[in-house]
Amino acid sequence: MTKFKVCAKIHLFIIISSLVIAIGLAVGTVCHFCANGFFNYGGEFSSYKSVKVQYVTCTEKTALSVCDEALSGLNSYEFSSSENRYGGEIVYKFTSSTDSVKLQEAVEIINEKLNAQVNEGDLKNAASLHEGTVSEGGARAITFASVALASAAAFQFLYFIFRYKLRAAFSALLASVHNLGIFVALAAITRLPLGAETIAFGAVVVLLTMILSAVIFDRTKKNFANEKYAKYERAEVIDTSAAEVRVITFIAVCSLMAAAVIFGVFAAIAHMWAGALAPYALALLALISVGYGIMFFTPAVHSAIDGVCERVKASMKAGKKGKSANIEKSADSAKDE
Amino acid sequence: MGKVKSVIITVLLALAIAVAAFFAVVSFPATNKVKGLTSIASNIHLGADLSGYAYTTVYPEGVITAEEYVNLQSDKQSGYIVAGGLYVEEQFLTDNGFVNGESGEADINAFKKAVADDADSLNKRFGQKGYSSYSVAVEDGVSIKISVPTNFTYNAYKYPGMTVDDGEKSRSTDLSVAQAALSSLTAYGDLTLRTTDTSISLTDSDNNATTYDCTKRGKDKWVEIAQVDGKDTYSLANGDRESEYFKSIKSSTVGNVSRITFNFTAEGRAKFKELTTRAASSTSKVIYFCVGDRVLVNFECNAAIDEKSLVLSANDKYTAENAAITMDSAIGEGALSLIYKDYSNTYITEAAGGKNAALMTFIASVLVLAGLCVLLTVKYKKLGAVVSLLSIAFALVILYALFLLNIQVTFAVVLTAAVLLGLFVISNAIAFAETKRMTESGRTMQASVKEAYKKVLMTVSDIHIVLVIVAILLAAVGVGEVAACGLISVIGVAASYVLYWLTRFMWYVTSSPVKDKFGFAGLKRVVYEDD
Repeated sequence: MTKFKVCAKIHLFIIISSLVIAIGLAVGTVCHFCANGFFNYGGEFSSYKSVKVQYVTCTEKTALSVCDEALSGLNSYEFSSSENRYGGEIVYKFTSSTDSVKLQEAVEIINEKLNAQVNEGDLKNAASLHEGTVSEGGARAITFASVALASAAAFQFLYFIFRYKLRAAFSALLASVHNLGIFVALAAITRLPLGAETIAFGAVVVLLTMILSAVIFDRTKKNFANEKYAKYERAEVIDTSAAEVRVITFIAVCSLMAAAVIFGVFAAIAHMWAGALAPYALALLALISVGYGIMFFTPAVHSAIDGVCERVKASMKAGKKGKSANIEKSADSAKDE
Repeated sequence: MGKVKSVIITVLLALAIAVAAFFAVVSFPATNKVKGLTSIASNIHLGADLSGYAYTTVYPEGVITAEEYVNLQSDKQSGYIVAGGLYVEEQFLTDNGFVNGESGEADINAFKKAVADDADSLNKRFGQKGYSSYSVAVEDGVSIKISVPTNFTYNAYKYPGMTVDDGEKSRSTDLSVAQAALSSLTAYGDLTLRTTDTSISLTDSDNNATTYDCTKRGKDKWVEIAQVDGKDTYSLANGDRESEYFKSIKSSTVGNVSRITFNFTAEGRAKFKELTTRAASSTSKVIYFCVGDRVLVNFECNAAIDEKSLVLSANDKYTAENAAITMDSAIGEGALSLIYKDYSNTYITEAAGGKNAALMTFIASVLVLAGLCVLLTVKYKKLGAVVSLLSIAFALVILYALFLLNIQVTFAVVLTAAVLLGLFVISNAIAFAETKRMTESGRTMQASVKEAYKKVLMTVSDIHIVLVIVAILLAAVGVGEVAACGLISVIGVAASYVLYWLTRFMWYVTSSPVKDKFGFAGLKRVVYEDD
């Protein structure tokens, strides 16, 4: 039997999970009214500022050197440059919090330098500062992903009722909801910029939870059937089962986290900008949610649900016995009479 | 199994994996006469985080850019109102009713509201495309910038500067998908059914001839701008609003066959019969389905059509999808109210994850796979090497699936693939752990393996059954990245299950000639002394 009793610490895990989710909700709600939304939406979903340079009298190289000099010290997170038969266009995109005054100053410097050699009456180059407001584009993807995940969870619930028991199905459903909730809360708390990939990460959380919860419930089912554990308390058997699969869960989650870190390191090398690490940090948060949920919260809650079910079963049994005893008693008394 | 058989099977498997890996990752540069070989990996389409966005900015009539403004004569510049970095012609606003009700002066806010409404419609249209990521932004309140993934393969992405070679060709081919969407979906105005004939003569059953004048629909503001091969087009609808003919317009693609289905309203069905009677009597016999000035689809009509719905075939999936989304939006509330200047250039941004994001992601993926192989070999010794070989096979299956199914690779897809590889390894780990438990009870290796696989059969099957159905749900119901993750999960779960059994087979094959079968799997034989 394991020494680390996860099931005995159910209150601790409920408190931790509730706290994380409550803090996430609170931070998200406050930011919804005071900052830029419940989550910190990334480039695809948030407003931005951009400096657009349209050149006709110089080469791309000259225009780029002038722009890079004027915009040095201002971090753009997206860049595009292309030439056409009349000249070309260069666009630098900045976050909406970038100082407009500094950007406007840079625009004026670019205009001045690019048009220094242009004669009166000739075509001029133009740099301009723009503000973009992004329409929320993730709504459809979120709706469809939610429908897909809800159907997936419903299917898992039905399958687990058939394969294991109703109580295991409840625990598995709770595990998926809990892990997704923790991931969402952590995303709100950490204020990491959310991109379109976040929805897919949510799906990964549910998928991984399903894989690992199936491993736990299968082990639990086998141990309950094992004569070796017949004399133990049910909670102890669940504890032991959780401990037996904890290594697999730990190695799986840690390996995936290591993979996310490796991808993150290479992404940082590719972009040389800390902002590029956001998706990888989100992936880590998703894996942390699954790891914590599966290793600690799920077995503890499953044990509690199992305990409640057993008590209900026992009381129903006792009720039936009592009822039959009463019937027998009344039959006897009727006989006596 | 004999040693020779074992060696032959192992070598054949290793060779097959090596050949698949070779074609998957090795590229040869093109020489003068011999066409180069481009690897499967470099022909996989990449999402915006790995290959950047293709974007265009659409300007409504009356709006000019800073470049156009600075090149105007100074007396003309005074007729423009500044809107951020753009300029709006004051006269245009007053001529088109964007005026303040009380003062009668140009009201730029009313104009901005119209632009914002159009941006919402465009957002809905692009939302239906199922992109891994996209954005529709209103710039300075008076122009709309739309960004969609470039759809570049790595091969196309890495050759931006080259002029005539495979890289450049595939670059323009890949980009044409994004360009077609940007062009079709930004079509403004109502849906109209048009002909190039100016008049059509009809004869009824009593031989009475009537002539339908197609040019008479004076209120149609698109008459002068919708053209086919330089010819003007005219309305076939006899003054009706064609958008009222249709309940919905949808596209579907099965295999290589793409279709657009027009579902009629009860009244629309009768009207469409009239319209097709007219078209069948015309000289050109072709009906053009236009949204504003853009011809989205056409069909040759030789007889009157009286059906609940009309199904037209399209050249490809993208054409069908773009046309159906735009027309469906135009018959609903989504028609753009302003006239926009001609769709012009498509620009490309650098990859959101950095210039070398795709290459770095590939290197990181190889490193992760290599790390896993090392971990497996250390933990399970020679058996670990067998699983490592099959893990490489699994990675190749995913790589080929991404290529064959045309799935856009993003970081989320890469992470999903990593989770699926984890599923394959976990399935094997469960079987190995059970085998270890069996050997501890004193069984022989062969008996332990047999018993262990029997015992974990339902566990492994359970996980795979649940996941494959969940993956099908995600692929079928989800859109964008979620659908891509679902699709790759279906392949990954199936591959994991097949390779799990192949691992069992290869365990048997590779360990057959080995004397120390326990040592082969990094286990120790437990010997119980007889009493």
